[in-house]
Amino acid sequence: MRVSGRAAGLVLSLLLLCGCSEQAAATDDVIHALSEAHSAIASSIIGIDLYDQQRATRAVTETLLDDMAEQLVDAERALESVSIASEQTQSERDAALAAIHAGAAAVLTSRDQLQQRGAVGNAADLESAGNQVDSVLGQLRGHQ
Amino acid sequence: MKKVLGLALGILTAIGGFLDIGDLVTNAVVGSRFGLSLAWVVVVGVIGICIFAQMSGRVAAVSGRATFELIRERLGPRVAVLNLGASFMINLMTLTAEIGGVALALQLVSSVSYLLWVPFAAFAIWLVIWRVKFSIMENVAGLVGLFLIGFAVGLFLLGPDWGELGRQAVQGVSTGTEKVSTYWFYAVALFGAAMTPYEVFFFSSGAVEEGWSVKDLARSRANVLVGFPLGGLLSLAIAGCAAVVLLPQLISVTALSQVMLPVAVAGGKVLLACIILGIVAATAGAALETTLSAGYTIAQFLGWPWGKFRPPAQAARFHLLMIICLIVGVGTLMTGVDPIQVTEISVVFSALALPLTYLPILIVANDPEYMGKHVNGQALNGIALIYLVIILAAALAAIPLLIITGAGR
Repeated sequence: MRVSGRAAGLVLSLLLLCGCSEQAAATDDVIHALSEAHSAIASSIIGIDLYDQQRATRAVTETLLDDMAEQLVDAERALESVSIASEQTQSERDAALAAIHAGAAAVLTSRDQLQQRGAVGNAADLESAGNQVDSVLGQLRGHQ
Repeated sequence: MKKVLGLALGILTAIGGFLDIGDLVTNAVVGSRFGLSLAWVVVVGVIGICIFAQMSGRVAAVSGRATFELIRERLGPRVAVLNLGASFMINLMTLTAEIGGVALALQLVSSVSYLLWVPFAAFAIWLVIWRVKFSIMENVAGLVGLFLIGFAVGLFLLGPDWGELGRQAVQGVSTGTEKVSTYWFYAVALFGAAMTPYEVFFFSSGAVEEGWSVKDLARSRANVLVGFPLGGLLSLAIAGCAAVVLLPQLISVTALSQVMLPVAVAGGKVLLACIILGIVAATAGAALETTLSAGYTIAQFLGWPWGKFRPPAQAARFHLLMIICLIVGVGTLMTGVDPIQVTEISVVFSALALPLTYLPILIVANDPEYMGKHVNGQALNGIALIYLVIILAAALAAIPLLIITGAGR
């Protein structure tokens, strides 16, 4: 009886450990996607700023925004495949998805404006998406 | 005077020719994520490539034959086929990355997708190999590649805190927010990028193409010992630019377009234009070298006539092989695979193939039957053996680190 009790305790501990490590891995994946998104949005902001100051060519800026949009879409895709082990993971992922989606939309809008009008109207959306990403990223790093 | 000019030209070509897409991308990624804390790897890699490149250049100049011919003759076909297999596969991967690099650089000029540039770039490479004289091809690519000095100019214009950069460089292992395994993954990648096998095969076959003899040994040594280290300094300048502008903003480089940001911050459109020109030349030069190396390795192993010094009709299989390699490279890129990822993987796999590439060169360079009185000295052998240990360690660590870190994620 005592032996089976210990065995049950051991199995329970292992299951808890597995659950915790799965959750930690999921959080790591979310943090990684957010870091990529931060990098892409920050690069886009610098690129647009340089273009406005006439320090970068239109072709380089368009290529940069194309690349960064692709990186954000990849980050979004990576988040969709994160396995949901708990409500906490679900809420973390949803917040991250919303932030990255906003970033992707802002970068794509900037790229389209540049392609169609030769200028980016307003980088405020991009900065707001960047803040959103940084805020979620900060919370997750804080929890860790 | 003519000799001095020839020497200067060789050195300049070596500086411009040292950097390829692998060096460009890996140094920028490392600079943006680790600052200059991996600078020591560039130093170790540059010393290593100098040792083995001058060794293989000496073998070619003394024996009048290229490395692969001698490796097969000296070590037998079974051992040589291992060397050939590893070197050829890495070379093919590097060739694919270089074609992608040319296309990505052309996208930066035109904003037309790199996929549309890939076939054009490969056709241009074939045309140059088919029509242009070896010395012109090598010197033009190397000299225009010198525009990459713009990275060093950019670093000065950025006015960095030199003390901080120096501190990063001397403190060695420093990961910041990154994992230790990721740090070592990039150490292996940087080492592989600096010591890419095609560089020595191209160097030795190029020596035969240009008809080097014992008289040219001093020139060969100067090209390697001055040109490659100066090329290494440019690698550090690329990492330095990324460390100054991108690292503080937590931007990690994943695209060639991001490598342009510090340049534009430092020197605006003029410097940007210089760097893009330099990248087109450096990647095109490396694509030419890897295409030729693909032909050299197989043709020399199988005993086919090879070399640009022969008319194409007399080296038909050599030329056909290069065309096939270009088509394979284009086909791989047209699947939509990311050229930057191909580059990152190719430099890691380079590290894996290094022992099979460099050990046979060391054996041949010690054989008096081929080298006469020009065999390696004891000191050089001692250093080369230390390097073989480093190379072996990097090769053994490459795949486990690739898996553990998810390719440096």
